[in-house]
Amino acid sequence: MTSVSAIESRPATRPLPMVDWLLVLSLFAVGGALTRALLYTPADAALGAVQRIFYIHVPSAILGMYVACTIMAIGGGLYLWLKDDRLDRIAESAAEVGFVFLTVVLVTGAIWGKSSWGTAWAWEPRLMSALFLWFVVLSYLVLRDALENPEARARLSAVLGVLALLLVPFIHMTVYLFRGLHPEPIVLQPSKPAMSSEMLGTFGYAVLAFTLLFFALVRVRYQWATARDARLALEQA
Amino acid sequence: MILRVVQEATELTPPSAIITNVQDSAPAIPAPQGATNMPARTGPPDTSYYMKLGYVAAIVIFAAYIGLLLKRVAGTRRSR
Amino acid sequence: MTGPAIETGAPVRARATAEALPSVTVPSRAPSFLGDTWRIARKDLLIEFRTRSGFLSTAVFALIALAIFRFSWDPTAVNTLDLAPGVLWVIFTFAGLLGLNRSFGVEHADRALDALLASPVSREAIFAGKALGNLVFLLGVQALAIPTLGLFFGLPLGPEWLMVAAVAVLAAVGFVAVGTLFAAVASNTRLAEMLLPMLSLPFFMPVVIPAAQATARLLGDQPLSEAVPALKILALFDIVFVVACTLAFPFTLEE
Repeated sequence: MTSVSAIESRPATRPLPMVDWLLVLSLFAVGGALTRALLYTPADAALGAVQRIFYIHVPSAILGMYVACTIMAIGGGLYLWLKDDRLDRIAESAAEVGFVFLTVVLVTGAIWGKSSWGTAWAWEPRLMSALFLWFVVLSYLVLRDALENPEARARLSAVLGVLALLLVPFIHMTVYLFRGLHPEPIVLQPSKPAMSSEMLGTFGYAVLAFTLLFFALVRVRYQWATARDARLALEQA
Repeated sequence: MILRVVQEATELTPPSAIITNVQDSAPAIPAPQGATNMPARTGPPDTSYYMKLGYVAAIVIFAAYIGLLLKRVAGTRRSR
Repeated sequence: MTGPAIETGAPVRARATAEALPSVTVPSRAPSFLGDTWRIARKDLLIEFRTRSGFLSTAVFALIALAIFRFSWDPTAVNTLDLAPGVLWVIFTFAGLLGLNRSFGVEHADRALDALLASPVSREAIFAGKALGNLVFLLGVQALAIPTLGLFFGLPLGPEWLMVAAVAVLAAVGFVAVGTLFAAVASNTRLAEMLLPMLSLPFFMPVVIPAAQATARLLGDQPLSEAVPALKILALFDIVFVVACTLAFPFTLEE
């Protein structure tokens, strides 16, 4: 193990707190945002109450598709350069939490689609992008699981993480090509509905709250990974 | 020219053909029953079932993951 | 069947390194990237040619799969031209995966990879050589499967098949670049054969879908311009991923 893990093993001798204050705070924030969405924000005139899924679906999509995957790729790329175990743990934590957010995006999207489009799944560019990103993050996590040597695990999963970032624009290009030749009969593009100021305010709160939740989860996951790696180093020493 | 006149003539709707009062033989549809905390609506469909389903599903997924994290943290605490 | 592969592989590999050795002692002949690439590819193809087990089983797989698709096809329900390109590219994907699995399995069998890494061959050249070997392998399968597709599905012969062959080559380059890299990644795990499809299939998606679409346009006698957007994606994918995978490959090997 490198000197970095020697430094990292110091905080791990302190037991991890069972209650993480940032996570509790973020849960209160999410609870507040959802309460505001359910009780104090008017329902959409055309879609009805189901439109309130928007306040979970879109923030989760922003965090799962863009934030998590970018952290996964950049963390991996920096790991290959600097060989610092902490970067690998950041990438690992962001990927796992991002996978949870992507799952929420797909599930809430299917429920919303069933209500508003009449079908839970449509072969539409955005859905395909989300699905393939979900597959890529899943394969990243499975690859990590299949590798036992920590150094090889960090190195090989970083390669996959970096290539995943290159893949994303190609998925977008391909799915738009796919659609361009097979026009969809249903108008799926929820072309940026002009939101009322109340809706916009609730959406802003929701984005903030879910961002807080995302980083709180990544932080807890990261601290756990640190403790796990320190214990592993102790066992092998 | 003649064609155009004919076209305009066929496109023109006589005033008598414009329906002003819709006569529906079907019985009146009862107003949709929304959740009690929502203002009564008439236009949009009642989709609160899907809304609740979506919220419950998202909360269950997040709760399950937080549970998994807590279990892992508890595991590292127990072992030392 | 792996026994002969190792036995025939070892002397070939020994010769490859023996050829590379003078390049270190004699400064007049610097180790060239292209020369090393060719030697690695020739070594892999020689192993493949002497055993023939990998190519034969892959080719048989492709032909059986074509036959199965043809039998399960209901000509009254689905038009030939709607089905054939998709069938062709699904078969190439899985046949390619079969070949890729062998690519590094051969090297891990008796830790021959260590000898390869000890030789004065740059890691980029190892990747390029491995990818070149896989490319020839895949093109061989395609050369067999594309005429068979035309035969089984009763497609008329014509000059558009030359363009289909060009699409096949264009797609095979990107396919092999990504596939070789992930074969190297997966070969580090015990589940290599199971992990490789999972890792690489999402990456094959921007190769297989445009390729199938371009094939459908070309065989459908539509103007070439209809296939151009798909060909652009394929060409861009080839450039980006050949460069990226060559640069990333050294990281998949142990230091």
